[in-house]
Amino acid sequence: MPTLVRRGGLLALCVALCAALSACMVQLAPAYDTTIVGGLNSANQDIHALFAQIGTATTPDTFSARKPQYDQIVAELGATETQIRTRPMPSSAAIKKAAAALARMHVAGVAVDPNFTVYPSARAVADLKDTIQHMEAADEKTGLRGGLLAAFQNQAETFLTQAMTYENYLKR
Amino acid sequence: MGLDVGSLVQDMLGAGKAVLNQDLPALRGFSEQQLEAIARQAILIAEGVADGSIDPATRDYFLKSLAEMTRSFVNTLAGLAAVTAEKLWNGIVGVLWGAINKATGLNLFPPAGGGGS
Repeated sequence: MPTLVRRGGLLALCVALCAALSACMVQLAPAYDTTIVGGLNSANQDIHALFAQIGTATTPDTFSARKPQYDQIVAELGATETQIRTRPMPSSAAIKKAAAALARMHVAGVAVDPNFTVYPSARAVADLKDTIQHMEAADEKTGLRGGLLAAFQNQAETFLTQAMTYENYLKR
Repeated sequence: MGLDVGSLVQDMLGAGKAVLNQDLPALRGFSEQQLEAIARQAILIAEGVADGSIDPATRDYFLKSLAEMTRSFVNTLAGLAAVTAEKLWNGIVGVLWGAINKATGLNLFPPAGGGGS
């Protein structure tokens, strides 16, 4: 009888522990989404195709030939940003705590960042879209060359890398 | 079969180490790439001003964007850290589940987070 009691108690303890542990399995970040990653990959290809076509310089008189490419990229990025922002977010606490930890490590900007978001890739995509739109305006107005063109390209690639890195990191 | 606390702790440490061994180099690589790109951007803005392709209004835009690049990088890094924390936590919990299932011979709730032995 004591043996049965001990076995019963152990079983109850294990069931109770398993039930408690099930609550401990956490999801702190959103799910990996192939549609979002596909959208980013398409935008990536189109952005690199645009820079390849631009080459080392453009003039305003040829802008109309590139206008459809700008429109395509902006539309892709807008759609992808919306998909990211409407994806279910399991927890916003974890990323805020991570940001607080980075702030304590004195990593620049977090503590005073008014635009901090629990959707980091949406932020990067919005920044990328803004970059492409500013680049389009400059292309139409003055053309692109030298440091202006290189700065737009580096800025676009940096925001693109941020978004793609985060979205691919969600594959776990 | 009973639970061996010593080996369970080692298994939990092993699960955590496996996650960190995979994720920390990725986080470090991303950070280094981003910091290089941000530093390069400062140089490119200066070059654009020097070669006359960047006018004062565009320079101001790029300088604001440079600050945003840095903040968005840190925002992204926080997001990546949250993913790693999730993998770390669930990996350790998975080991616990595996040990309990093994000790009891039951498989009532297989661990969803992986890492069980």
